[in-house]
Amino acid sequence: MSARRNGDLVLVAGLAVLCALVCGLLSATPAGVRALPAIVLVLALPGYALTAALIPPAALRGAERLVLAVALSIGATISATLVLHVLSIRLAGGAWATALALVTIAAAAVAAARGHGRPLPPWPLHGVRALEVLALTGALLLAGGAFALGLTPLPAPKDTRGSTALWVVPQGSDSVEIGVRSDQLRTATYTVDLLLGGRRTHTYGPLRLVPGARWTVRAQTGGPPAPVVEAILHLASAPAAEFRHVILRNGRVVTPAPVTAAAVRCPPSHPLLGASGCYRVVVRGSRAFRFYRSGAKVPIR
Amino acid sequence: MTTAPHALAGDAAALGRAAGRRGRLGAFPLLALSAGAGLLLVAVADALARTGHPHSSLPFWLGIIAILFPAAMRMAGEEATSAERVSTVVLVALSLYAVKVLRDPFAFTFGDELAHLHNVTEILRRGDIFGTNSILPITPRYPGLESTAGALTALGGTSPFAAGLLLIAAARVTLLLALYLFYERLVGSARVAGIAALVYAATPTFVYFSAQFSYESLALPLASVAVLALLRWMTAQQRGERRGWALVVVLCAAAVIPTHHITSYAFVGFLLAVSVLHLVLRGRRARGAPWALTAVVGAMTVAWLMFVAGRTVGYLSPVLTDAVNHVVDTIRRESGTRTLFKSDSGAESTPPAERLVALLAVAVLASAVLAGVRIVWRHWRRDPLVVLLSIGAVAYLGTFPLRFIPAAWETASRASGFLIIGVALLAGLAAVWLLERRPRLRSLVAAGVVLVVAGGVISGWPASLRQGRPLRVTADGHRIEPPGVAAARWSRAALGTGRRFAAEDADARLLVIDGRQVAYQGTNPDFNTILQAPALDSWMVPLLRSRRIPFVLTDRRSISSDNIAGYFFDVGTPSLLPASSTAKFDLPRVDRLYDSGDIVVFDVRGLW
Repeated sequence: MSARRNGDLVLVAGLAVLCALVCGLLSATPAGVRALPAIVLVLALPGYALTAALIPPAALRGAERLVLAVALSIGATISATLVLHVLSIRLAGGAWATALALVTIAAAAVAAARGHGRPLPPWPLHGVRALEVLALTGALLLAGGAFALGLTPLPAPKDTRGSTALWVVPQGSDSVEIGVRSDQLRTATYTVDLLLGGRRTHTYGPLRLVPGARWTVRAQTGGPPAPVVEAILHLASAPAAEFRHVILRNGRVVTPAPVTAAAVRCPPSHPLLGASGCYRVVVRGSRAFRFYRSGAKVPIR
Repeated sequence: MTTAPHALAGDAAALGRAAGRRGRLGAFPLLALSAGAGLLLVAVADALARTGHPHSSLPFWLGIIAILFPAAMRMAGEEATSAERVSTVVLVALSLYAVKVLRDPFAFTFGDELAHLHNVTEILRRGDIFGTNSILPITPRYPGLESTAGALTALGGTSPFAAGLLLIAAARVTLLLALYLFYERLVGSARVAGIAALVYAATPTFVYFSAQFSYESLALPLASVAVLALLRWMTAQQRGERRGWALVVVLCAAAVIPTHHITSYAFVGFLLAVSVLHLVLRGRRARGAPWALTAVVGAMTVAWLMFVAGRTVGYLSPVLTDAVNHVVDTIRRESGTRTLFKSDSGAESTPPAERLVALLAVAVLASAVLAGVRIVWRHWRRDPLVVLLSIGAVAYLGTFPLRFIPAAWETASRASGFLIIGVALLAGLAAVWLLERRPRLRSLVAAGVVLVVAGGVISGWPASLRQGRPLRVTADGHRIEPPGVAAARWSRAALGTGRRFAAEDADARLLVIDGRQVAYQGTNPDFNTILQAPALDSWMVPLLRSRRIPFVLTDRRSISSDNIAGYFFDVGTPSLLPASSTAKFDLPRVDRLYDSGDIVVFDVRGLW
């Protein structure tokens, strides 16, 4: 089994190791550098190696090899994910990178053992004319221009309906946060009346908000028990009219959410505290797992 | 006709001639240049539509023509090499996908995309598959799409949105290229295959719906590769090679099954039909019937359904039984028919010129199918695959009446992605038959390809949603947000994540993605009525209590119940629900936390 005769398989296996190192195992690598190796590792290398392991190279055309490489790579990623799940291994960059690199190397080894390797083909664009390169460059520039135009935020149509939001949220038992966000098409000026128990106690403003700007204030309400708290927004151009209206009749403090585990912090005194937060231990048969509050399941070896 | 099996030699001979005249890449650089110009025109159309200018349709259609017509001309001719045809198929696949991406280059805005995007973020957050999804509860049981996008995100350090775009782009290329290679192997003509691959883009769902970040968009390309591998398995001579292709079929099926339910069932049905037709057409003794493959793939599909995704039956059965019941009711004249080219609400209407194009496209496709059936009868009536695809093509024509039935049109539209594989083959055969007798009609054939693809776009997606809509816009030099997005982001900042909301379809999706909340919508259970009714009925509060929903987000804009159009800014005079739909929650025990005019968020825990 010579490296030259199996040039494509050696290259694929080597690239798989390199891509896995760059993407999954060296987590400090910047995202911009990792993107291309990730695409190659997830969408090309495992499928190429699997294709070589299964089908003799003489039975395949280049285009067939391409579609099989992409489809089997996606298939390998899906299967690897299912296997990682069954093995209770947390799905993260390192796990995926290792699994896909292993699949690629194993399939390349099988392909080499079956004599399905190929010497590296010549550079595919050899012999391409300068005019052809020019036309392709022009095509890329036009497509790039299309996306540049598409990604440019443009002015809203003239009859777009802007909006302004007013909110009030309890902050503990004796204060509230009042806020305004203006998504109008022009700078607008507002005032906010704060009413406690039906009586106006404070007026904020005038608030001059440019499009997209927001204003918040924390107001003391007294209590407990919390009084009925109202906030009324007026446009400066129509001060008598009620533009927006919010009201806390019950003054309930928003309780912690049931499923936001990532946001919940563990108390420092929690007896089971790991790097990813606190966890509980669940025993299933002969195996035990750490169940973190984030929902992650990690086997205990 | 020369489109008999193994006519590839003629194409190969043309290779040398074409290479000598045009250079190594043939006409591909010019086709790419034209497609690039087409994309720029489409981007201009989107920009005009986003800024409220009329007549954005003109550059859009010119762009589509610039992408398709030169490609179709080249495919219809004899000069192009197989490699050039392959490159052209890739170019068209990417360009038509770019048309969809240019419509919304900032974010996913199709209803299903947001549901699947949530699954990706959940996989990355939890480090595990099979999470929960309040919008489409069945989707976490089919994690193929999301696990691949999750791997791309985690490994590449990109956003899930970028990973999703990349994955679907690869899927689009795989789909059209696999079909091209399948057709080429099946009938032995690169010319037929090239035209057929382009005609496949006439699927009404091709340019928009099937290009979204959704599980079917990945499963169908994987299944198309499995079909290509099946053909290679059926025609392979050596035992080892045959075994290899069988494994490719099984591996592709193993990727399809955890990705999308309907596609996996369709693939099992396809294998079974090929086996039966093989028996009928070639007798028991003939080799090549894929009974064993059918059994293996069928067993894998049933195992997934039984052990992982049992709730699929409950998810799919109402859709199918509803469609069947409405068909029966319509035949009995107990329910009305659907008006073509109009949305169910009647608000959306297709321009008359576009209706004409769509109807002409149907006529052209129907003619091509009839002509193709005649050619198949002469040359391939003993070939199980070709006969099966021809039956599929005729069945595609049979789905047209279903488009008049409200509950069945979606089923008919979704089936078209599978059945049109046969239509495209027959159209390719008919086109080449015609060109061999009338070579001067090449432009007409290319125009026909553009016409049927345009007809598919028209009948598959509402005119007002084809081009970009205002989503990320500036006002006085500052960026502003649509009201649904602003409310979702406020919920995250003010209330934290993971809160349970009831909201309209579009708002619920924004709450899930931008707010990271658990949002419920739709009619099962009937949150829609709770949100839209003018008064609270006795069953509503118990439902909110039983589902432990503390927050209700009401939205008077009718657009918010549209999970395709509901994410954008309203332009012009909006259609609003009565004020009582919101006011009914202004009760003594209810807090009114957020008010942006049309959108109001209530804390209804006091009603529990």
